[in-house]
Amino acid sequence: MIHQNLLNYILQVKCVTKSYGDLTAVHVDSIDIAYGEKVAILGSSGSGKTTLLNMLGAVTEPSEGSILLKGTPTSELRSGRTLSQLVGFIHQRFDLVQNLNVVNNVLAGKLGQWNFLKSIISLVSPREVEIAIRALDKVALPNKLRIRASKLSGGEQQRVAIARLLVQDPELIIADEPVSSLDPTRARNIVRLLVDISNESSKTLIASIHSVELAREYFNRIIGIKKGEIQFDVLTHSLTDAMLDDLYNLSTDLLNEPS
Amino acid sequence: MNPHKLLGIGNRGLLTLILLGIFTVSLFSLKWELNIFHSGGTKSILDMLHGLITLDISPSFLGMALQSSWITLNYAVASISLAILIGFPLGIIGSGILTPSRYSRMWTIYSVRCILSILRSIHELVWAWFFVVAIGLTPIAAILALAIPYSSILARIYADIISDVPNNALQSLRASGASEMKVLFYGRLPHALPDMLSYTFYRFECGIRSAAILSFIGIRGLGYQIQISLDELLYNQVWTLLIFLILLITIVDMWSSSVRKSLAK
Repeated sequence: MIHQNLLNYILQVKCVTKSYGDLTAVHVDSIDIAYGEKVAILGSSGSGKTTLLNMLGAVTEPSEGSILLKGTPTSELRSGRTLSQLVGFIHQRFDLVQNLNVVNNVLAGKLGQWNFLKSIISLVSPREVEIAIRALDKVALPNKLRIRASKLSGGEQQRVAIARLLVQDPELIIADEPVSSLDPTRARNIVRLLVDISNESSKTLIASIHSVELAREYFNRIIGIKKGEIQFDVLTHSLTDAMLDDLYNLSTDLLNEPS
Repeated sequence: MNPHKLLGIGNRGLLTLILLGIFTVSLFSLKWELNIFHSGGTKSILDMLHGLITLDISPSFLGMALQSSWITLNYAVASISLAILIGFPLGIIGSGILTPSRYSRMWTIYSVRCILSILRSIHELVWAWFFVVAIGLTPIAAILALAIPYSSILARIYADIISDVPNNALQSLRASGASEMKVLFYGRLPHALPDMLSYTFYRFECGIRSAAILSFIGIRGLGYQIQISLDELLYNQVWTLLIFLILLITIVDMWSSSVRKSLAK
């Protein structure tokens, strides 16, 4: 049965479990994310954030349950082209092709749309360079077109990755610890950049970050995950310190663990 | 209880002992002749060394040595070029990266590797004899004789390098909507090209040496001249030709270093 509400949500998670053999990595009853929301995922390392984000972005499929991306189950979204129009990923490790220069890395966002011949020619003589220039302007890296990616700093590489995302132009941005390897100032800049992009182009943003401060400042909804289960899913102003303590606190659990 | 654990040495120690043992046994299995020098041997060695001191550097001979080097170089370049042309696509196919399923990938890798091993285990001299018999004493015979084993050597290494690219950048490209062919060109080849180039240069040097030896079968080149001079026991000429060979390989080595340096910038 298709509800009216379906069309208001870009993502709907229904009774999803991800298991590896006997181990249940993630279990989520329900999450509904509306278009244009900015959601921060908080949780300590190993809590299941990456697994959850990979399922939301249709990189992996849930073992049980279903995830609807714009009304379509993620299991049916096999085609690289359609999926790349829907979801774009930002990772902690930038994931640029180190030996390619910046303009080719940025234009790689178009690989889902260009045919093979155009893609190859672009390696030698970049096609549609204006798109790359505009994207690089947006991320404040205007004069780096011909520089090899490996020569850039961490913050610059992350911004090139975001420029590539802009060229790809997906409706949903999923960022998996995008700023964990950056210093606080650059981390703040990157988060602000992602949020600006989300606001300007009405893209939905889901990001897992470690900084509670950044989450509170830039995101309107915060989800806490611990040992694969959702601890809380609240609007930012409803987040309490007690919730955070419970989320990150391991010592009480260690005491309570059966020996 | 394992006896070697009782002795106090671990698995690695046991492996070392086994390898030493094999080495020692193989030494004793060889038939060592106590008289390895035949009676005229010492004189021959002295003659050879004498040839080094009295190099033949007459202009006519030097001119011929230069020309022979040029011929050998031509053969090497033609053969390696053909080997790259064949080996590159073979390497891509043999790496299995373009196959869709795990099953077909295993099958592809296994069968391609088998074919490559067979081609590779036949030495270029044997290929040369085969081609000379089949199509006569022509340059094509020599080029094919070198190109076939070398293309399978290159293909094998290319396959390894191409499949050994870190996955996170490739995943990123796939997430941008790239097909595996586009991932090959945008993600794998940029990472693999420096190593592939370096190894190809190394094989080019080997190719020069092989081309020199191949000229023993009658096509002109350094090896052919070395054989003529050896038959007449003109060691001074042999040394001249050998020095030309060494110079040739050294020049190629320097060229390859400068190309790799400029790539890395």
